[in-house]
Amino acid sequence: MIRITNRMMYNNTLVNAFRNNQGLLAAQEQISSGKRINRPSDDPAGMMEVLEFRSSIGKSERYVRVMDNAESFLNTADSTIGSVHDQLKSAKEQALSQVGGMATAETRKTAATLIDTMIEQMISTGNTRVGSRYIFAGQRSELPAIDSNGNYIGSGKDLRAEITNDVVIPISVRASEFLSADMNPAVSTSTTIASLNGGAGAPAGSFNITDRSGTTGAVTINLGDTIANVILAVAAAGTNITASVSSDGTALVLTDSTSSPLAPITVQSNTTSQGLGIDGTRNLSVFTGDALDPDIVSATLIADLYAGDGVTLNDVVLMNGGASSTVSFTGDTTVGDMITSINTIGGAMTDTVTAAIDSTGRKLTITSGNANTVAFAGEAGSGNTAEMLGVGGGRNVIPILQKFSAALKANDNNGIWAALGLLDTNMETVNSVRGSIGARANQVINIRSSETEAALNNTKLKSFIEDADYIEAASELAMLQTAYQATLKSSAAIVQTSLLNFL
Amino acid sequence: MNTAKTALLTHQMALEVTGQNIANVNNPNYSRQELLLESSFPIQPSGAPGLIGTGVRATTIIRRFDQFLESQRTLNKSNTQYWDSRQDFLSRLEVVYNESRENGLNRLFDDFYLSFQDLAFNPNGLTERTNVEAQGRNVSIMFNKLSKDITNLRIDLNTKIASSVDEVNRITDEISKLNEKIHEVEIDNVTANDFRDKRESLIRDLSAFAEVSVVEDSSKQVMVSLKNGRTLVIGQTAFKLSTKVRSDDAPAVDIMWADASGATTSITSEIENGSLGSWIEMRDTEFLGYKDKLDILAGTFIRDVNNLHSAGYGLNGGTGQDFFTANTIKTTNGKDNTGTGAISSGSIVDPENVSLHKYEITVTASGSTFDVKDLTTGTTTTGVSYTNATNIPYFQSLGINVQISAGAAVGDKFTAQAGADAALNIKVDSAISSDLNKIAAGLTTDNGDGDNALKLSQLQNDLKMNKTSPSDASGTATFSEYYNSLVGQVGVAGKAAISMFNQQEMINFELDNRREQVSGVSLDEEMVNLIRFQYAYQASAKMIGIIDEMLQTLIGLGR
Repeated sequence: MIRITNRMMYNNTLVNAFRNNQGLLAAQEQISSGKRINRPSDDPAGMMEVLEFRSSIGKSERYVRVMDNAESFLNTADSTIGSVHDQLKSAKEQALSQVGGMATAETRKTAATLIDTMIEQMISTGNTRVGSRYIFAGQRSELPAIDSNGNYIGSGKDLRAEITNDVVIPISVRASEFLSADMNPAVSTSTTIASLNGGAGAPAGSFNITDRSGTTGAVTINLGDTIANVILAVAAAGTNITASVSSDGTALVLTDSTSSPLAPITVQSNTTSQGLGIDGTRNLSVFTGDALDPDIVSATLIADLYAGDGVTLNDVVLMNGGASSTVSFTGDTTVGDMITSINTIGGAMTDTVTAAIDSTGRKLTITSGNANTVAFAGEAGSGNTAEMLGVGGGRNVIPILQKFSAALKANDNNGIWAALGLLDTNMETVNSVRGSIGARANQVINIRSSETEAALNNTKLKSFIEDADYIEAASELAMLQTAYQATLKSSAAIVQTSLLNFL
Repeated sequence: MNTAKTALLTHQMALEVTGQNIANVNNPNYSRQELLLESSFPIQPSGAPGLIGTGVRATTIIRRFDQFLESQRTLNKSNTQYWDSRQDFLSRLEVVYNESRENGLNRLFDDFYLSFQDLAFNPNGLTERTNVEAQGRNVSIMFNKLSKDITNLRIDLNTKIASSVDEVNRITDEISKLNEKIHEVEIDNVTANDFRDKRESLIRDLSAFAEVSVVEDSSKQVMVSLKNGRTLVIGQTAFKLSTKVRSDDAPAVDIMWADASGATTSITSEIENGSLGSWIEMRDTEFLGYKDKLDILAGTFIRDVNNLHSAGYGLNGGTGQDFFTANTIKTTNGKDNTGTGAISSGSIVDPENVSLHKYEITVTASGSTFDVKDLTTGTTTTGVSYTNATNIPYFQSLGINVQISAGAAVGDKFTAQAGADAALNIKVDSAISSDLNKIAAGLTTDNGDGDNALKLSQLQNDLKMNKTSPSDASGTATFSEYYNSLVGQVGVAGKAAISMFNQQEMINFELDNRREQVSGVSLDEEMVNLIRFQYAYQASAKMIGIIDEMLQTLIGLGR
C-alpha cells in the first residue's frame, strides 16, 4: 500500500497547473509575435537557417537595386548611340549629295556647316551624363569623355558594377569605342617616365623609401628613364622593397620582403614619387601605386597598346587627292616605327601624307601636304589596323566627320568620296557597339528576374521555418486551455476532501 | 492500577507525538515521528496461574526516514540548481544574441556591405559616402553593445558568486553547531529527531550551492566535503570561505578556503555542480569564451577591412587610411606570479597579418625558455626561447612586439592578445568620420573608380574566419557565418539547459513524492491515530475508574 500524504496532492496540483501555464504562455507568444522562433533556443538550427535566408534575400534585393541603376545607364547609352547612328545616316546623305557633279563649292561649304554642327552634337553626345556622371568616360566619370576638339580624354577602364555573385559587367561603353579611338597603352618596362600622367611625365629627382624593417634608402630617377630604370633604382636603394609593374599594366607595385615588420612602408612624398604614383605610407606588404596613365610616344611598344592587347599589323591604305598607296607594317615594333612606315610611303605620294601622334597623346593623325586635299586612311583588307591607330574609319566617327567637313570646305571631291566609304564603316561600328549594349542589357534583365525569383523563393522557405502556423498555434492554445480548466477543477475536488469533513 | 496508569501516560505521550505530526504537516523538512510501543515486562506474583503483564511501555520515538532517498535528494538538488542557474543566465545571454527581431548584428553586417556596394556604383556621391560611414558606425556600436552586455553578465555572475560565500559560511557554521547538539543528545541513546531534520535540510541547502559528500561518523557528527575531498565541516569545526579579487581579471573573485592556521588556498576550480559551480563555469569558461569569440570576429573584421581600405585611394588622392581604428594589444601578468618579471605593454607591428589569438606564456626557465599555449586553438608550443627585455622572436613572427623583463620565476604566467576587447573598442577611424572624402573607394585616384569599394563589399562572401594562419588565402567561414554560428551555439546551449532543467525538476518532483511517502504526514492517518489513542486513553481512564470503584468497595467493607 502506497502512502499518499496531503503535501503530495498539493504539489501535484501546483506542478500540473504550472506545466499547463507554461504551454499556454508558449502558444500565446507564437500567436502574438507571429513567429515560431522567438529566441535562439526555441530552435537553434532553424534560427541559423533563417539567418542564412535573410542574408541571401538581402543580397538578392541589393543586386536588383544595382541592376536597376545599371539598366538606366545601359538604356541611356543605347538611346544616345542610336542618335549617333541617325546622325551618321544624314552625314552619309550629305556625302552622297555633295559628291559628284551636282555639288558646287558653295553647296559644299553649306554642307560643311551642317557637318560641323553634327560634330558639336557628337561631342555633346559623348559627354552624356546620368546624374553627375559622364557615362562614356570610363572610370574617370567626373570629367567629360570628349574634349572640345573631339578627342577622347576619358579613362581606359570601363565603368563596372557587380550585378550578382561574382559577376561584374561593364554598365556602359567608353566613347573611345565609337567616337574617337584611344590607344590606351599599358605600362611596361619600356614605358618612359616622360610619357606618364597623360604626357605630363614624372620629373627627375630623388626620394627616400623606408621598408618595414625600418631601413631607408634613396631612389634616384633621371630624365629619360624608363620604368625598367625605375625598377633598378628602387632595387639600388638597398632596402627589402622591390618594384614591379602591376599585373593589369596600370601602375607600379612595391613589394616588401621583410619577414618581421616593425613599421609601415613609407615613400617620401615629392613631385617625383607623386609622378610615379607611389608616394604615401601603407602598413601592408604589397603596395600598388596610382594609375600611371602613359601617353603614346614613339618609343611605345605596339604590343603594349590597348592595355597590352596590342594591334594586329595588317596593311593600311593611304588616300590623298585621288591617289592611294598601301603601307605595310611588317617588322615594326614601336609606334615610332609605324609612323616612319606611314611617312615613308606617304612622303612618296603626289600629295604627301604625314603621320604624327596627336595632341592628346592617345592616337595618331595623318595630314595632307596639299592644303586643298584631305588625307584619309582605310583598311587594305579585312583588318582593323587603320581604325585602331585612330587614322581610319570604324570607331573614329568624330575624326572622320572632321575630315569630311575639311574636305567639303576644301572642295576636295576625292576626299568626299573617301569620307563616303569610311562613313559606312563608322555606321557598322556604331551598330555593333549598340548591339553589344543591347546584349548586356538583356543579360541584366535576365539576371534581374532570376534574382527576384530567388528572393521570392528564399522568402517562402524562410517563412516556412520561421513563421508560426496560426491555425496550429490557436488550436494548441484552445486545447491547453481546456486541459488547464480540467486540471484546476479536478484538483479542487480532490484537495478539499479529507477525513475531517466526516468527523 | 499500574497497568492502567502506564496505559494512560503512554497514550497521552502518543497523543503528543500525533499532535507534533499534525502541527508539522506543512513543514517540508519534517520527518513524521512515531511512538514505538512495547508491552512492559510481565511479573509473576505468587499464586498467579502465569505471567501477568504490567502494561505498555514507550520505547523510542523514531523518525520515519530513508537515508538513501535523502542522499539522492541532496545530489539532485545540486543538479537542479546547476541547470537552473545555467538556464537563467543563458536565457539572459540569448536576449543579447537575439536575432529573431531583424535588427541584430547580422542585419548590420549586410547593411555595411550594401553601403560599399552603393559606393562602388557612385564613388563620388556624398550620400553614398555618408551612408558608408553611418553603417560603419552602426556595426561598431552593435559590437560595443554585445561586448558590454556579455561583460555585464559576467559581472552579475561574479556578484552572485561573491555574495553566496557568506551564505555558505552561515550554513556550514550551523551544521557544525548542530553536530555538537546531536552528538550531546544522542550519547544517551536518544535520537535527536528534530535536530537531525534540521541538519538534513541545511545539508540540502548547502548542496544547492555545490555538490557535497556527507559522511556520518560514530560520534553522530557529519563530515561535509566538496566532491574532490576539500573539507567544509568536520565535527564542530566549519572552515570559512572568503573571496579574493583576481589581479588579472578584476573584478572577478576567487573563492578562498582558510585552513586551521589561517592560510588560504583558492578552491574556485574545485567547486562542481550546484549553482556556485554553474556560475563559476559560466563566468570563467563559457561566457569568457563567447566574449573571446566575439573579439576574434571583431578583430579579424577590423584587420581585413583596414587591409583593403588602406590599399585604396580617397577622393583627394590620399591612401594608407584605415577605416576602423586599428587593433590594439593587451598583455597581463599572471595573478599567481611569484617572480619580478613583467610583460611589456606590447605593440602590433604587422597589422596586415597579425594573429588575433589569445596566448598564454608559462616560463620554464627564467630569461631563457617558455611554453606558450594558444588559448584560441588549444595548441601548445614548448621550449620557445626568449631573452630578457628583448622583443620575443616567436611573437614577432605573429606580428606582435612584446618583451618580458628580467626576474620571471619558473611557472610564472603571462598573457598577450592582439585585438583583445576588439568588439568593445571597434570604432570608425576619426579621420574618416571628420572627412568623408577619405573613404577609399577607388584603386586609383580617378574619382569614378569604385573598384576598392567593390572589393570591400565582396568581403561579404570571403571566407575570412577560421584561418589556420593569418596569411592563408582563406578560412572556412565568412564574417556573417561565424557570427551566425555563435548565435546557434548560444541557442543550442540554452535549449539544452532548459530541457535538462525540466528533466531535473521532474526527477525532483518524483523524489519529493517518494520522500513524502516515507516521511510525510498524512492528516487522514493522523486523524485515525488521534481517534485510536483517544479511545485507548478513554478506555484506560475507565479502567482506573472501575478499579477505583473496586477499591472503594474494599475500603467500604472494613467499616
